[in-house]
Amino acid sequence: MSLQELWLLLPVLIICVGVLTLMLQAAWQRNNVLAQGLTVLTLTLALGALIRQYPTDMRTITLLFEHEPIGGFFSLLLLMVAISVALLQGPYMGKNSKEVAEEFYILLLLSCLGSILLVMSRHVASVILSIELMSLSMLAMLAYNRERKLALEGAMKYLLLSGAATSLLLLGFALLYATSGQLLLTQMLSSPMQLVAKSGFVLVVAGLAFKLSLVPLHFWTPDVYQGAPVNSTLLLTSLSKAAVFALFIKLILLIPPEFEADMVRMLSWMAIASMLLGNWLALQQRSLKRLMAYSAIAHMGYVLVAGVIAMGIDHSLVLEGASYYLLAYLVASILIFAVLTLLSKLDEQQDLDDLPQLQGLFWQHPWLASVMTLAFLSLAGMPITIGFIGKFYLLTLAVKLSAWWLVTAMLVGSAVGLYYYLRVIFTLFAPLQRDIQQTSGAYLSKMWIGVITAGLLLLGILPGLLGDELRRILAIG
Amino acid sequence: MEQALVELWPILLYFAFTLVLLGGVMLVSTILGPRTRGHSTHLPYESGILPLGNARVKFANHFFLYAIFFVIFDLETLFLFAWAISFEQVGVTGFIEALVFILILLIALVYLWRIGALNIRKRHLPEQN
Amino acid sequence: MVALSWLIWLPLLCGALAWTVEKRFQGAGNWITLSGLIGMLLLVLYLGSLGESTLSWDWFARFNIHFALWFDGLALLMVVLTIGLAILALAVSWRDITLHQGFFHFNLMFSIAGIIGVFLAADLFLFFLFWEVMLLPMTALILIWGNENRRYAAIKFFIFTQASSLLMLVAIIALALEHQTQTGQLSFSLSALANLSLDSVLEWWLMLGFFIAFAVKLPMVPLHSWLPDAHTQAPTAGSVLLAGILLKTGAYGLIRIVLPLFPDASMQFAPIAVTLGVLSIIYGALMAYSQTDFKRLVAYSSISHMGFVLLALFSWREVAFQGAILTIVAHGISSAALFSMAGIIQHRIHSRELGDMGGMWANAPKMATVTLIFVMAGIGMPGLANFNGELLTLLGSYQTFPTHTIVAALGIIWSAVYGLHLFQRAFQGPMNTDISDLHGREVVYTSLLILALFYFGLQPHILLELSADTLNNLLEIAKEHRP
Repeated sequence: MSLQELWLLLPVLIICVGVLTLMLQAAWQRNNVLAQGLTVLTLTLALGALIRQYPTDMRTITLLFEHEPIGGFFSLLLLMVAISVALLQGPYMGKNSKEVAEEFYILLLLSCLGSILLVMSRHVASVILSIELMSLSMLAMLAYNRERKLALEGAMKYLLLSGAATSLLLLGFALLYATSGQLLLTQMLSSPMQLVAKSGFVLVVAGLAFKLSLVPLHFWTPDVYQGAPVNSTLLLTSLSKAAVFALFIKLILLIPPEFEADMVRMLSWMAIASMLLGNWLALQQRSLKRLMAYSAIAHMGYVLVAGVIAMGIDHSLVLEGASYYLLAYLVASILIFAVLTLLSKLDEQQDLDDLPQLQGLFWQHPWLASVMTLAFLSLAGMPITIGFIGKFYLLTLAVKLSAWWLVTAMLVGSAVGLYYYLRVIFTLFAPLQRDIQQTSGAYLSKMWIGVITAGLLLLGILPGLLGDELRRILAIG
Repeated sequence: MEQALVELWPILLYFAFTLVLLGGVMLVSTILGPRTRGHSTHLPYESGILPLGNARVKFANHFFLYAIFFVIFDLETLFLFAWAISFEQVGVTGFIEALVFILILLIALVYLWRIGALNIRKRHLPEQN
Repeated sequence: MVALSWLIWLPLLCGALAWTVEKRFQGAGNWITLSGLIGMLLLVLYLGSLGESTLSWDWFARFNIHFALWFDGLALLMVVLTIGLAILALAVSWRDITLHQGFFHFNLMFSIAGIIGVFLAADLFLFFLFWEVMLLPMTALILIWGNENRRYAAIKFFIFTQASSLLMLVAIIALALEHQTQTGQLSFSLSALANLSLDSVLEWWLMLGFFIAFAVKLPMVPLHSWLPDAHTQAPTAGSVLLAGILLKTGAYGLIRIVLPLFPDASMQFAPIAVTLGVLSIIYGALMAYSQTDFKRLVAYSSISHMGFVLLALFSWREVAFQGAILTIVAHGISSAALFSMAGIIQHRIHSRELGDMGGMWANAPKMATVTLIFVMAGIGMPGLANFNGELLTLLGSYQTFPTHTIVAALGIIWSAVYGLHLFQRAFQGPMNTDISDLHGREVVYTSLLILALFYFGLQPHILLELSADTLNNLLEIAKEHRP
């Protein structure tokens, strides 16, 4: 490893140093505010370092990692998510929480580290290591309030099922290795694929589909989402999905042509099933977190459409579309969970989660409710929000490929989706029933939410700001 | 199908073998296992003193924690061993890397020590209820 | 011309301003909104005097999307109608709205901005954007200030219009991609897309995608079921906007997009469309007759009247086109007028049931006279605006679809039946309720409405001159494509 490679790894190294510093701080003197400040500082520094040396072409860093634009863009998204979570944890926890504060931030940094390494991976070993680093630290965060029964139950489910998924992933890689004799992802998939290798690849896809909670591997999602403290749910629904999707699309683009037809068929069905089932099951949910879980399933179905199309036509528009859509999804998820976080407390048995509890939020806290409304409209794909542009990209792709089945499923899914998103929005605007407490103060967190909301509107109204540049940012074509 | 069978037979064989092995072990142990049907078979001791109180005693997970610490720190010295035998080849870079590694281990140790994970608790058993 | 875009920014600014100021000064929102609307009226008349104008800014270069507006005679007509009815909507709700007034004005002005955007857009992407954006504040109007069953009505309204517009979105994208395959560049511009020569199967499907979206808005049987609920449950201002303008965006879309872009397919489709139009006329009239709710009755009569527009547009005749334009304007005014009457009555007796009314002439002669004139306009009495529209529609479409036209003429008879039925149940017969007569503000705006109805009834040529360019363009296309 040369010094130059180390230099490219700077964002990752900064996060590592941040973790160690936080550990020392916890050992020296516990202090919530200091820990939060250190975390935000670390993440901001990492963000700065990443922007400073934003990759314009692909460079390998040792055998295990690579520094390239797509990974760079996704790392930006991941850092944005991590900063949101770090900023929200302070108000969510309050000053005198029963739980310790520092460990949450350590875990947050660790899982952020894992996710960034995952999008930089080019080798089986680094994939497995980073995916586990990300998932395991997330696991502890899912049960961060040890007194919540549902949280423990959810974390246990996640532990067992995610273990099973990882073993699928490992078995898949093992079969691929057995036939190709290679461990680098590019070489592993470039050799001609026999049936064994194909089944190995299918297993890998299944392992990743579990993390993305695509149908039929979605069963864990609602329970885990509902049980976990809302801030950890945010991390689960954004960080792990974005990172795994980046890897997923990288793998999809590597598939040899003779295998494409089969994969298109399999992934199309998964996408269609996810879109329809996710939206359908979300219809009757009262719990917002469960609703968001099903909505996440549906949205992962939408981005999978991009993955399917990636095999069909020119890659540049697909990558742009997938990136834009994922950005839109992340922004909306962050905002929704951020509002919920500001309305809940970690120490309580339950988060504010039941839909009727939110009734009339607009009349009491107009700003929070407006943010949430915009976020839900964005998820529903209404114009002037970023979600619409994302949907527009995907529909353009699907129409271009004449994938009418996918288009139909997208349309039906969106139409069904409208109903339950609207139901939530209508609840926010219903007459006020009871007092809803929001965390007072927390100006920094609220400012951050404001910035993200502004981004949601700005990129929806002026899509060209990012859309015209995306080609250059992702350095494609 | 024919071709699939040709290509996949080692895996199928592997699965079949696993199934047969697992099934076989369970089957054999039910058949061959010693079985007595005395009236006190299900007591902890067939002779001697009857147990007092609840048999489900929970051990504090503190013990497991020690075991895990041991495994972790012990395993990590393995890496140092690998470095030690190739000391000449890896040179100064390797030395710095090993230093960083040891530093991280030290910080982890300090952390564990300060949060009290290494203290031996006076009371290992949780409260009886 | 930059001033053109101010037709969209001005209502947005006013709405936001009204919301913020209303928090400080009670009642200021009304005046801000009113002055904003009058300012817009002056602006649009000034722009109209300058003649046709366009505007195009780069917006989303990756997909070659422009922020392009296009202002011609027809757009002038529709925008003036919109602003006029917006002032009416503001006037009827001047004191009606007691809850969250600031937010009410915000929503009112945002939906106005969206509707004006739809009328001005010259880029299909922009058109779609406004098409969807105008729905949100409208849904909020129904949801927050509506009547007893508002939640259901708002959801139904939103889902119907949204789901159908998704089809339009796919059609728009497919059209732009077709432009790319033919010329090598994506384009969403209406004028560029009009030059495409489409394969007949593709044209058919694309036409259908647009048609369904517009037919839901129009509304056309069997896609109408949102309308009675939404109109009935909406607050008076909402009903005025819905019936007066929102339904017209559907007709406007047919004139601007479906007919010129897909002439062959829409000529093929004409028999079906016309049949559905006639079905709407008859069905709407029959349903209107069987209603006991004032607003619901007017809502069904809207379905019936908009059936005439559908019949006229798909006949592809000059006279029929002119009839469509006249019907659009006349129905905009007369249905808005009837809904505001319903609002006035509901405000006084807290009921929309015809059974609770009756004999109101005795107490409220002015109200009765005004309502009678509005009802007469609705049933197409000569001298009032609606008559010209229906007459020209029937004359024009008789050349192409004689049987349909004869059946549609029966619809006019039915409209007289339900119209007089409405008037008779509410204002004649035994006195059921004590009601106060129209007061100053109401007299002013109802008499303005009566004036407009008479004016356009006696001087229809103004409307025809304004829309002449658009209609001539359509007729030229028709000449080229007629088999």
